[in-house]
Formats: sequence, structure tokens, C-alpha cells
Amino acid sequence: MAKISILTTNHYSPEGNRIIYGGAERYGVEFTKMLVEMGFDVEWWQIGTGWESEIIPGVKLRTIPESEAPLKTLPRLNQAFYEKTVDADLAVYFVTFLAYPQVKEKSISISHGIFWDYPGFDTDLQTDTERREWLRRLYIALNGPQKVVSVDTATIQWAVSTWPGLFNKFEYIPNFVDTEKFKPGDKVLGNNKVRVAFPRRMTSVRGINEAAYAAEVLTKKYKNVEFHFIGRAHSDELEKQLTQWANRSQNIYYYWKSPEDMPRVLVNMDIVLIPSKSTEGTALSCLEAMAVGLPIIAGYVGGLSDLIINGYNGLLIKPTPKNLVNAIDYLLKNPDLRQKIGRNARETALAFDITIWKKRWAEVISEVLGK
Amino acid sequence: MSTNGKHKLTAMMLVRNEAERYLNTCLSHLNVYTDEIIILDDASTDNTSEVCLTYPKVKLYRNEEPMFIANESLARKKLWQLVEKSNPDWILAIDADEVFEDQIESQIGYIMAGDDYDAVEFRIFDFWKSMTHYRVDGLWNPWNRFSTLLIRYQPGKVYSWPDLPLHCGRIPMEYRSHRIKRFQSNIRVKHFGWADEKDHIKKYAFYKQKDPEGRLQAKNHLESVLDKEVKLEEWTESKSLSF
Amino acid sequence: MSHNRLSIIMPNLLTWDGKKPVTGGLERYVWNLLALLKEMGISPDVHQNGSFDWEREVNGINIRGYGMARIAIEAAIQEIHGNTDRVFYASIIYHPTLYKPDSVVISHGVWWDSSNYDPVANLAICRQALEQAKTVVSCDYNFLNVMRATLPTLSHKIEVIPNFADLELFKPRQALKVKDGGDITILFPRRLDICRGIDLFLNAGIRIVKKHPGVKLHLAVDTNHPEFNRVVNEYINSTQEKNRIITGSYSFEDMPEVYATADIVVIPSIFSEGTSFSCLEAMASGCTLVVTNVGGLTNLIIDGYNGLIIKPDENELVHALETLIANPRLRLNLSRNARSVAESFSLNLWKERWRKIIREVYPDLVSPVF
Repeated sequence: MAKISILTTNHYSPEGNRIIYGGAERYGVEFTKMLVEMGFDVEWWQIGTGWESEIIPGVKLRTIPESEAPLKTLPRLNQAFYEKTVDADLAVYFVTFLAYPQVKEKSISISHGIFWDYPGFDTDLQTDTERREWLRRLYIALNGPQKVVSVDTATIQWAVSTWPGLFNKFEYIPNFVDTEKFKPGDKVLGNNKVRVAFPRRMTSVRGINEAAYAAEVLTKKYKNVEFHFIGRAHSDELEKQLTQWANRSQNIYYYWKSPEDMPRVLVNMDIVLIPSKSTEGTALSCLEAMAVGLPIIAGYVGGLSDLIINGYNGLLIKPTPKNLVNAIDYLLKNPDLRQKIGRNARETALAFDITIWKKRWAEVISEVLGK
Repeated sequence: MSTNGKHKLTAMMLVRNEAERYLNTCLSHLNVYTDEIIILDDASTDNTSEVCLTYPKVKLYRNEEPMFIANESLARKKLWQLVEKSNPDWILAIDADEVFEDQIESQIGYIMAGDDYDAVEFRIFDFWKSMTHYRVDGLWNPWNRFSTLLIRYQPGKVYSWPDLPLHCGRIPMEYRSHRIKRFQSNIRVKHFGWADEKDHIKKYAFYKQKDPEGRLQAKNHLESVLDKEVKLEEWTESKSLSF
Repeated sequence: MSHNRLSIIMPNLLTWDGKKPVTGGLERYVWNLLALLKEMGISPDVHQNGSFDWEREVNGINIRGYGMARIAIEAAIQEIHGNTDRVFYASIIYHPTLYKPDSVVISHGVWWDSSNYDPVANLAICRQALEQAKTVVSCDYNFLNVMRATLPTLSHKIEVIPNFADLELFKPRQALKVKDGGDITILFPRRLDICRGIDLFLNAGIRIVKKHPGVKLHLAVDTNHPEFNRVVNEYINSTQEKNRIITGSYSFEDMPEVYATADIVVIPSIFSEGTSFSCLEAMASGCTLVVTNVGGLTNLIIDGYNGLIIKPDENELVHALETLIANPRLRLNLSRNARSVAESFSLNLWKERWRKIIREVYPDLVSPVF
């Protein structure tokens, strides 16, 4: 049985006091289940003080101490992983820059999307020298593995526009949705209210502030419109602010659900907002809302244009506060259009079913192992 | 038949002389969304038992001699054994002065339907000298801590409790491990234990006497009960979801 | 000079001698844009490179050629800037220049995603446009993504207006249905330019034709460089399958018929691609598409839904074509969805999106709406 060792940064938070089951974590779990189904012996490694856990029952997750990330890379973690996994037949670097500086002879890395496409990133790498060095390291990380699996075409196109020679490294395997679990269904209540959902992590790059602004404007304008902010925030303080804000506001809700409860929640929604401003791949939440047959308003960022065709199965907008308000208002006024693009969203979601994702991954893994 | 579909929810509670406090509020809420409420009355000298028995879902057990005060661990174990007999799917560990936000009623069934976790954590808000404001300074901050209150019962598993005279926790050790898959809920719990100023000195004295060195709980947290200056926030109730 | 004059700056709407129209994607784009500007009450004219100074009127549009371009393009642009007031750049200028600030520049996609180009120099060319113009309109999300990942502080200047298809001209001739048996025509409707993947198409196509007697290849190509046509024809004639490989050059008016006779259309670009007109027109015509994951093509095709996406790789193309040949039902589903997706890229929507931008950038030129 071939052994696959996977290196990630933090599947579980090193302290463990806030449990957030985000997109990358869900990807990790589904990826692990797939590899186990395929008959591989799988183990995971992440940053930690030496504790051990399991990623799914029977699959160990081990830890390597690391406290520094020079230039947003983790070369010591990379080296320790290399040395500790001598028995691995294949290494998977769950985040691209973890493949810097050294990779196993047979290895794959995963790009979850462009994560540096916001002005604030400049303050993390403040000088031109730092920026150049970071790029140099990213190049080494992308060039090392036999394959870089990208969840979107934006990453591939950026990389090829920066280093044309990398083209053949990349495999495009968009994210997935279980279209059996996420499917259109009957609302518990009638259609007396129109519910607009923001089913994302409550962070600025996801457009939380634009969405909150739209909620205030449109709940004042329409008495039958509700906004549901569904997801955890990056901090306790922000969760507090959102809770108090929602509780004070009429027709605005803030809560979150476990991922397995989301199909039921989405079925009760009418419009979904994915107004990301940056750092976006082929968002699971977007695919899930599509699979439920909901009309989506998405930011024209990263991998979202791999999922949404403007006006066909959703609206793709420049995510400014004004544009977002106008787009929601437009859908509120056009229930027939909501139905039409929702139907198309469900149809297109079928092309991203998890069974297709598994098939593509199986092909890439056998290609790399076969070499 | 269970109140919440497939899953039987048993609440467990250790009480002593709660009749004049928040017992009625607490039980009238629990009576709506639980299937059974197992109460161990730790030799109350007021009419706590009578109050409990007015709620049809309550199964009441009584200690003739106070047990909690002498050995908390022993009292917890006894309550747990009684709960196990009720054959629950999920167990809610709650105190007589705690009340969930109303939205628990529509959501608890969905929470218990989850397969991906075995324990559910909630944020507890300590109401301070009022029924409208809760305390947020220092270790009282409710926003940055979660407490495990709801656990999936797995028959046949061996459960244990720390051998401590105080603060040994209301759930078994097995549910406190990092290995347990947990879900943190946004539904909040109102704790009225500090809502009445009259109780403060009594409670302070109790804990001070049981744990003078502050070995079982941060000493400055206990001392902070007497703080003159505290930071409060006004409670705003979350709207209930209709689905 | 008219007070609502808007001058379009572009390389060549007419040939450099000003004698005949150039046929290409950019030129078609500009003719549609000129019509739209006139509809909006703006008086457009065109300024372009020339082999000498000339002035012509075509379709009621005044077009000027600048002979300075023979010496230096940047000098011609400088002269155009001197002769014009409000301007509109129909494409990004590859030479050092100062754009006029209250202007629109159109990006037709990332063009340098190949080893033939220097990424640093080409990024600098884009930076110049983003810094100086008011709005950069991109025909795809790919250019936007590359800019956001490279120059995040400037990317807010980008608006996306994807290209369009004329849905009346390009449409299925009859109700789409399963075609079981019969010949299959695989069409390559592109220019003979290395970036458009003619090698890829011929190499993979010939392998398919060898194996499947009922399959024909059809190359609908340009004659801009007759020497390219000669090389391609010589190659085709050297194969045993030459009788099943048809080559032709068609006017735009003939293209609906060309698509109507095709079952599968391949857009095998290897670099420098936006939201290709050929791809959109094939979609609108209800063809089954195979495209590469290059540039804006991934904004038009969702793999497995309204076409197949491959890497520009011969084996992948052969595999995709084999799959389609073996699955008439899949071909039908993909082609139906291709047509219905194309309806979101109508000429009307394109105009509507452009009107909004033009009103924002050139409010003073637009006739007031009463």
C-alpha cells in the first residue's frame, strides 16, 4: 500500500480555543476520505508542539514545532517534514508555499487560489527586496513538485503571465460540491419574506462590510426582506459586534451552522451573496449555493469567474457597496430572473459534483506515482 | 417519542435551595425542548423539590445529606449514573440559574442531528447585579470562552470525573479532550448566578473557604467578585430563526 | 471640431496605406463600438498608424492615418494626442506613452503568457495604462485577475465587459438533437497565428481522422500571411487523409454557414487569448466546443457543462475529441448549454454595459437623456 504524507500549516489551530471548520479544512477532510477510499496509507503533518490528533477516524495528524514564517514561507517546517517522512511514496503540500525549498521526489502541491491580491499584502512585504525574495521563493515552491493542482484558472493564468515556463506544472481541478446533499428543496415557510444570505467567513476580503451596508440599506427600503449572515468571524470581538448589530436591527440575523446543516439552511434562502474582494478560489460556499439552485451575486474575483457566468447562473460584479446594493435590488425586483439563474446555477453545479473531482484527482495522483 | 425528532435529549441538573432563585425560569424553558430532566436535589431545605415536581418532564432524586458541599466529584458521579439510566442520545449539563436564548427551541433538533461532532460548546454570559446587563471585564468576558454543555452519550463508554472537591466540571473528563470533535454554537446562555447582588458575598465566601489558595480557579478571578469597578454590556436577545 | 467629438486611437482599422479595411477581432470590435457611440449622440473619429499621412471616410467615419508611425509608433501617438481632444484607446499601447487621463483603454486579454515574451516589460506596459487612464475595460476576468495579483492598488480601475456574439446571425439552424452516426466535422475557425494553436489542432486532428473514417477536419482560416497558408496546405497534402481535411477562407458574412456545418469546434489557443469571438460565435451557433484553459476562454466555458476544457496538449485534445465522437448525447448536452450560455453574451448586453462606462467617463459628450 503506497503511503501519502500531507503537509499543511494549521488544520487544527495550535491553541484549539476557536474551532473553525472553513473551506480549506473541509477540502482536507474530503481529500483524506478520497485517498483512503483509493487504498492509500495517509498521514498528515502540521504546525504544533508535538501533540497528535486524527483528521478523520484512523488517519493520524502529527505536529512539528514552528514559530517563524520568514517572508510568509516555512522553510524549517518544510525541511522537518522532508526528514520525518522518509517512508512516504508521495508528498502532498497542501498549500503551495509549503513546497519551499525542498520537495520529495514524487510530490504534488495544491493552490487554493491567489491570496496576495489585495493592497494590504504590500504591508506584509514592505520593501521591493522582500517582495522579490518572496516571489523567488514562490517560484521555487511552484517549480518543485511534479504537479501543482490549482482550484481555479486565475492562479494558473497569473503564474503563466509571470513565469511562462510553469504552464505544464499546473492541473486545473476546480472545487467540488456534493450535489446529492446540496439540492433544491421546499422552504419551511411560505414566500412571505425574501431572504438574502451571506454564507461566508465574516472577513473584510469576503466583503462583509459591503454586505452589511447593503443589509442596512435594503432592510430599510423593503420590509419583507431579511438578511442572514451565516458564518464565523476571524475574532471573538467581531462575532460580538455582529451579534449585537444583528440583534439591534430589524430583519438582520447573524448566526452560524455546522457544514452538514447548511443544505437545510440554504434551501430557505432566496439570494446568496459571495461579494469577495480578493483571495478567492472556487469557493465551496458558492458551489453549495449553486447546487441548491440559488441565484448568486459574486465578486468578479479569483476563481469565481470559473463558476459564475454573469447573467446566466449568477451575477458577477465589481464588489463595491453601491454595485452590491444595486445587484441585490435588481434581483429583488425580478423574481423570474432569480428563478431562471437559480435553475442554471443548479445545472452548472452538476459539472462540479464531488465524483468528478475525485476522478480528476485520481488521474493526477496516478500520473505522478506512475512516473 | 422525543420532542426533537430522532434524538432523546436529557437535561441533568444538580440543585440545592434554588426555589427562590431562577429554578422556575430554568425549568419552564427546559420543559419545552428537552425530553427528560434528571434532577438531583442535594438535600434542599426549601421547597426546591416541590417546584421541580410541577414540571412533567422532571425526574427527581434526593440526597438526604448534602453531598456537593462535601465532595463535588461524588455528587457529579451520582447524577451521571442517574442520567445514564434514562438512555439519552444527548445530554445537556445545565445549572438551575442558566437559561438558553429562545432560539435553542427551534435549533436544538438540528444541532443534535449532526454527525461531525460529539460535544457542543456555548458562550455563557454572567448577568451582573441585574437581569439586563452582563459582565465583560477580565476573565468574565463571555465572548472569548466557550463551555461544553451538550454532549453525545455513547453507551458502553467508561466515563470519569476528576477527584476534586470543587470545580470538577459538569461533564465527564472524556469530553474535555482535544480529541473530541466539538462544535461551537452561536446560541448563548444567560447565567443569572451573579444577577442578584445579595448572593455575591455568600458565593464569594463559599468559594473562598473551599479554595483559599486559589488552586482550583484563578485567585484573582474570585477576588474580582468584589471589584467596585466592573465593565458591563447590555444584553440583546437574538431573534429566533423560524426554520 | 465638433464639441462632442471622441477620437478612437488604435493600430489599424484600415491598412497602413488607408486603402482597405483590416479584418480581425479588434477591428470588428471597433466597428461595433463606433456604431454604439453614434447611437449615443457622440461623433467618433479614428486615428491610426499609416505609411504616410492620409484621411479617409468609411461608413461615415473619418479615419486619419499618421505616417510618423513608420518611424516610431510613440511619435505617431504623440502627434495624435496633439490633434485630438477627448480620446478613447481601443487597445493597450505597447510603447512608452502618456495616456490622456480622462480616457478609457480596452484590454483584449493577457497577451504575454508565453515564453516569447518578457513578463516584466509587459506588466510595465499594463501598469502605464492602469496608472494613467481613468478606466481600463477588460474583455475577460483573466486580465483582471492577473492585474489584481500584480498591482492590487490599481485594479479597482478595471471594469469587465466580455465580448459578444450576434445571436441572430449565429444560431442553430434547426432544433439541436442527438446526431447518432453520420459524418462529424471538426472545425478550427481561427487565424493562422502560432498563438491560436494550428499545430495542436492539425496534429491531434490528423490522429483522429486516421482512426475515424467518418470524421472530417475543416480549417476556416485567414489569408493575412499567404506563406502560412502555403505551409499548412503543403503539410495537409502530404498526409494520406488530405481528402478529409478542408481548408477555406471566409468572409464574416459566410461564417454562420461555416459554424452551421460544424459539429465540434476547437479553440486550441496556446497563449494570448481573451473572450474569443470565434468561441462565442460557435457557442451561439450551438456547436460542441473544446477549448484550452488559456486566457478568457475559461470565462466562457465551464468544463463538462457547455464544452470541454483541456490543457493545450495534443494528447488531451485527442482524448477530448475521442470522448465527444463516442458520445453523441454528451455532444448534444454541451451544445445546448453552449447556446443558452451564449445568450448571456448578446450584443445588446454588451452595448448596455458599454453605455454605462461611456456615460461615466465621457459625461460631457453624451447627449442628455430626457
